[in-house]
Amino acid sequence: MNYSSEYSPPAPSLKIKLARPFSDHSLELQAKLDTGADMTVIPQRAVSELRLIPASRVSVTSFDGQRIWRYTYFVNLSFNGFEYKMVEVISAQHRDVLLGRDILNRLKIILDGKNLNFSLFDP
Amino acid sequence: MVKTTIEVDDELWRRFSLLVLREKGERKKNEVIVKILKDYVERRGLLVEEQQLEYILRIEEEREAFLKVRDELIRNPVYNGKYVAVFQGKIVGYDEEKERLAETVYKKYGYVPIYIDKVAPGERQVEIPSPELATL
Repeated sequence: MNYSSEYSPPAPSLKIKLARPFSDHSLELQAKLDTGADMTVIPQRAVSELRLIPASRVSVTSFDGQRIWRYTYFVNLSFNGFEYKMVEVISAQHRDVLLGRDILNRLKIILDGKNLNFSLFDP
Repeated sequence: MVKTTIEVDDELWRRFSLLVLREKGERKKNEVIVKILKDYVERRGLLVEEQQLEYILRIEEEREAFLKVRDELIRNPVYNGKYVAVFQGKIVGYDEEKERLAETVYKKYGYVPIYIDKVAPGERQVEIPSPELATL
C-alpha cells in the first residue's frame, strides 16, 4: 500500500470501515496509522452518523501536555481483510480516523518511508 | 438566550478587553466570550445533537453509580483490575476484556447506554500526542 500524499509529509493511510455494533450501518473513512496514539480516534461526525452510544470516559493527554476527558464508544472496525469487533475509541473534531496502537499492535507493520509504501500482516 | 453575571478579576478583565479591542474591534467582548464557551463545550465532546446529549446524560448517571461503589469494588478481588458494566445503577457484568464485556452486555440489554470502566483508582489515561488533534 502506498503512503497518502494528502498529508505533508506523506503518511501511511488506508480506507477503513467503521460500523455501529449489531448493525449493518457503516461508514468508510480514511485512516492514518498513528503509532503515537494509545487509542484509535474517530471523527465526531462518525459518532453522529452511526448514532454511536457513549460507554465510558477517559482522560486524554495531548502533545502539549493538556489533559481533557473524552467519551469512548465501542465500534466494529475493518480494513484490508482484518476485522476487529467492539474496539473502544474516542472521537475528535477531525476529518480522518487515527488508527492507534490499540489496533496497530495486533499487526505486523512494515513502513518503507523511503519508497513511501507500507505493508500490514497478521502473522 | 440566558443573561448571566460573572465576577472576574479587574486586571484580567482589563487585559481581556484590551486584547479583544486590538484583535476584533469595539463591542466584541460578548462575541468572544460566547466563542470561548462554545469551544469549551465542543472540546469536551458536548456540542452534540440532542440524542447524543441524552445518551451522555444517561452514561453520566451510570458513571455516578460506578463511582459510588468503586472503592468497594477495588477492595473486592473478584472485580479489582477488571472491567465492569453498570446499567440502571447496578453492576450487570464484569470481565478482564472490555471488548468481550461490551459484546456480552449489549447482547443482553440491547445497544443502550451502559457504562463500562476499569475497577482501578482514578480515571483511565490515554495519550494522543498527534499535534493535529491539539484541539481534541
